[in-house]
Amino acid sequence: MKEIERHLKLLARYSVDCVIVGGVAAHVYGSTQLTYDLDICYNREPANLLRIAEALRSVNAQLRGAPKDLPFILDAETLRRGLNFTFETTIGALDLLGEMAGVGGYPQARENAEVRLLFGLSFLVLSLPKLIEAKRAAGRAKDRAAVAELEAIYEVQKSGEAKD
Amino acid sequence: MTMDASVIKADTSASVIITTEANMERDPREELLLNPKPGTAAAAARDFGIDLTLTIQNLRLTPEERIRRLDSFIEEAKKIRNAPVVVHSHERD
Repeated sequence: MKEIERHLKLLARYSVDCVIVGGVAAHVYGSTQLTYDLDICYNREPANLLRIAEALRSVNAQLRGAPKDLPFILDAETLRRGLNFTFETTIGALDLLGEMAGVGGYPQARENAEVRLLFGLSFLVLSLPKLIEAKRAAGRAKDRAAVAELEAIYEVQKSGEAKD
Repeated sequence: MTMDASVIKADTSASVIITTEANMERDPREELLLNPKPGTAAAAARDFGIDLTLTIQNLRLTPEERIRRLDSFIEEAKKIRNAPVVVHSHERD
């Protein structure tokens, strides 16, 4: 089993409330832009933070790029005090976004999400138009390429009969 | 093209079938990406440098297949990144 698939199954196993965003969401819609991590916009309700912390501990999540001796307690309280986190885990890179440019927080992401079936499980994925907005708001060079491709895909979708 | 479809049988066990444009039915949605009209998002993407033939390939897959494919890319990229680097020294003293 590969990284993204394992992360998705981990999130499902711990019943994490989240919306798939970023490059993986773009791939769901057909983008070819390479990404190395899974980005999720997560629900910051206390019960969900507990589930996320438990899920992350199960894959030995560490802050990506942080000094190894940096004190970091991975629990719900730490997640509550922070907002956006980038983790490296035993199964790959996972980024938690409490808020994202062009979208807002989890409630807004959820409002603009679609249910997609992946690996036999249901996941919320940020809608294509909102994903384009988010990528445009992020404004990095790689996002500009993603926006160009996603807009073309959206145009095809709008033309009707799109596969998904 | 006006040529009829031709079939080339390879020497190996595999057969290669080449069809000409004349008898290929193109998905109209794919046509939007292959031959974008001026002023469309597809034209902008092409002009940006996006290879829309790759996008078409990806759109033919299901979302799950797309994620599996991405996972394979990530795995291969990591293999390359973690591969030992051999440095040949051409220094002269």
